[in-house]
Amino acid sequence: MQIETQVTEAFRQLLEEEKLNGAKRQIDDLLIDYRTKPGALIPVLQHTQNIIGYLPPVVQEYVAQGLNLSSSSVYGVVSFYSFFTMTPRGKHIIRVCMGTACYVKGGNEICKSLQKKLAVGPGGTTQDRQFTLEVVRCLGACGLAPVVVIDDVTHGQVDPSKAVELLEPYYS
Amino acid sequence: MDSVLINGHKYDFEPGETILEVARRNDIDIPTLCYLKGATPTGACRMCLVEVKDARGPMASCSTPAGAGMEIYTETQRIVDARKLIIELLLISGNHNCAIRGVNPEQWTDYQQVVEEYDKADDICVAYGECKLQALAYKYGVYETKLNRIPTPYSLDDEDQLIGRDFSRCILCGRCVQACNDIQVNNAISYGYRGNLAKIVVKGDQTLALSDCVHCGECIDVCPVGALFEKKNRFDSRMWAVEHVRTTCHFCGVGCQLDLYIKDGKIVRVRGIEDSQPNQGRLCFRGRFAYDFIHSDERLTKPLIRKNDSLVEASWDEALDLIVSKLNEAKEKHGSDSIGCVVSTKNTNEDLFQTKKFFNSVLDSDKITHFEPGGMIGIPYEDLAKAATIIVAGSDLTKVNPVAATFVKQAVKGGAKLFIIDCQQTKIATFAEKSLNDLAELDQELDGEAILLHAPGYDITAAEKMANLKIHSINKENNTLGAYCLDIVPQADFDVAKLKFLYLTGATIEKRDNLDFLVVQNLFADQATAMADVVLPAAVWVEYNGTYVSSDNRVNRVRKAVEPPGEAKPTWWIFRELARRMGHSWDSDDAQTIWEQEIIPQYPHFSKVNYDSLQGDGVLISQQPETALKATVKISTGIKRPNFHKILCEHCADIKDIVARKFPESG
Repeated sequence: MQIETQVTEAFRQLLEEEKLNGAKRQIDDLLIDYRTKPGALIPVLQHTQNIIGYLPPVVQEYVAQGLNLSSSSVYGVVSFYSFFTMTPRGKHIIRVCMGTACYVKGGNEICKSLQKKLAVGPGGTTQDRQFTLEVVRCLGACGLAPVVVIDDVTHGQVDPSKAVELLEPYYS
Repeated sequence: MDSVLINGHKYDFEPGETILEVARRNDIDIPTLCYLKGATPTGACRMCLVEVKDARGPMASCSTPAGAGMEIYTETQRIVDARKLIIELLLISGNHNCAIRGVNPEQWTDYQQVVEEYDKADDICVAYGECKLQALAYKYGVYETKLNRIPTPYSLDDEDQLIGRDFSRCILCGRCVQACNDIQVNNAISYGYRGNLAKIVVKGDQTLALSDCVHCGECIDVCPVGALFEKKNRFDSRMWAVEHVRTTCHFCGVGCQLDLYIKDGKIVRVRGIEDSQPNQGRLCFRGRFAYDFIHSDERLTKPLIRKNDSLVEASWDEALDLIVSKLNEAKEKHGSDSIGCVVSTKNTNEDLFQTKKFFNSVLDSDKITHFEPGGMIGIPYEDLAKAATIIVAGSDLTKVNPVAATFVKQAVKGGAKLFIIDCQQTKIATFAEKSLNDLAELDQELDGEAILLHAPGYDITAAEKMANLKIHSINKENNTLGAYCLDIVPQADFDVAKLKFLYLTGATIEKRDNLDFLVVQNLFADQATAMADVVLPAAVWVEYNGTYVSSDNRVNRVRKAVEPPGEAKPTWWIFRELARRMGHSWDSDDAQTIWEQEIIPQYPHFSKVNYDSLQGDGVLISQQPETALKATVKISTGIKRPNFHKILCEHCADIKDIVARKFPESG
């Protein structure tokens, strides 16, 4: 059908731009797998986000078509959960804690220095898509305040200049 | 039977009934904002809170099933206080700039300016006087608030040509989402984001103009506030200030009941009539928005006569006298069989009857035909929504009979299986479990009862013997069934080449062949009027009274709502005048008399169906012209059946673009 091919074509183009060969196959398998299962949308979106990195409207429409759902309802789910993102995210996620303990120990200054270094605001992603800077509320590691988490590694007692140094191993 | 106590009175209930349903059935008023009949209750707005004895807190009556022995109170002080707070919160949540919003006089102007900056309109809210929130605020006396207005994070969406979305007035009740997804099943809108950023979104959160919206407009009808509005009549037709006329839609064979709102002699808005049959308030794009052609400058307004090879304006007397003299000439020279007529099945029964009477009894000709295959649906449309298996054969249902399609889509949403048999890709096919190549394949798929819905004229011989299969069909034109009921059926041997005199109301021709004289009665100039010797301006649908027979075998009224343009006349009047000029004076001089004095006595299936009984939802007639419906439709060479739906839509200046963009080949 005409509409279907339009959606598929736009999706194919996006994957090409993202240099994600083979991603379409993976996502198609996923869609076939989940097609008949009730409540399939959220797991499919999770996997798809893992594969592509983010869920722009083009991807949402492709998923909607594959699961026989409306594009508006898929958008509703994606926009509801903070876990899903519609903009590209960096290879590495930096989370700066702004919980009470970290904040009084200088979390804000740490965040500012990282913003300056990366040239992005909170929630932003660097142009080279290496880093996404996020601000979070309390990671439950108040004893280590102020805390910065990069991917899965937690760094305690950070200061503004140390925070910038922490990034060095990730530039590759 | 179990019962509940509401405000101290005992009421019985059926298992599964909600408190709200029991209360409403017994005329106990519980206010609601988000509750939409026919959709699953969401309990979103909390207006319908009631107190239930021994319950933990107030309960939303729309979503709480009645239980045996429940003691329910609907207007205790606690409940009234809760409702007042909800109303107060809703009022401050948006630009509710009606007089209700209580602020001191200095703030009032500031506030109106803030609103004006948002909606770019110097008028008060579009829903003023119709708004459910405003009505509740009055009812509960909520005027003052100590709370501050929360600014709306989203700007007005007025990119779409027909429907405007004002997020500043949206109370997020979700009725539009239900109307779109559960009632019409067009699936164009959903809830998006959350918390104070929550918003009703379309795909990709774009503007409505770029969405999957098919412009049925159901969302506007159900919006309780001023968040969704029709753009063309935004402020100039406050609905409580203009008169409205109930009538039957003239597009397809479903025969939807609708209200026409009339201002200064023009239609300014169309709404579905809630709870009416057969459409239960639903309308489609055409029914709701395609009415501008009625007031188009391109309408034919005076009779035209061919003089020296060009058509010139003439009086009715001149035109009719000329037709009569040519009819007499043709009859004398070539006999009655040389005179033929192709009627339009968009005409009223009264029109068709007079046309037939004129040809049969005045001219002694039986060459009166149309080329519309006929069908009938023998069950209420709502039964489609309850079916377990439906087969749609050869019909582009969402396009031809969009309101009927909503019931089929609802069934699929409720778990029914849908099979499609069609050689072209249709939208309804995207709802199907499976597409089949032909009817014969159906046998293996069926278990249990199923409903086959086919396009009129589609060959269903292969399905006729299948067990447990009920076969139905819905007409493309509004009064096709009326024509069959009046014994005007397609004539397989109707051949233009053998005619000398042709009268067209429902067809167009490519060349004149051997015709000596051609009369074309139409709304607009077209290929056929260009070839005609006489062109007669016809009145349309909303311009005179009459009746249709809809596809569910329902006789329904059409009512005059506006005056015809110029000198345009109803078909029945034209034939009455022609007959008079040929020495036959017919007594009946209005649609009601034609129906009651002439049609009813002659056609037993209409017996007892007088105009008085046709109030409201019309009358279902029991006798059916089934044998006639099997007539073979063979279109005579040189004649074309126009796509009326498309032509009428194309003459609506205001929706032309949308038709071209969204429904290119349909109208």
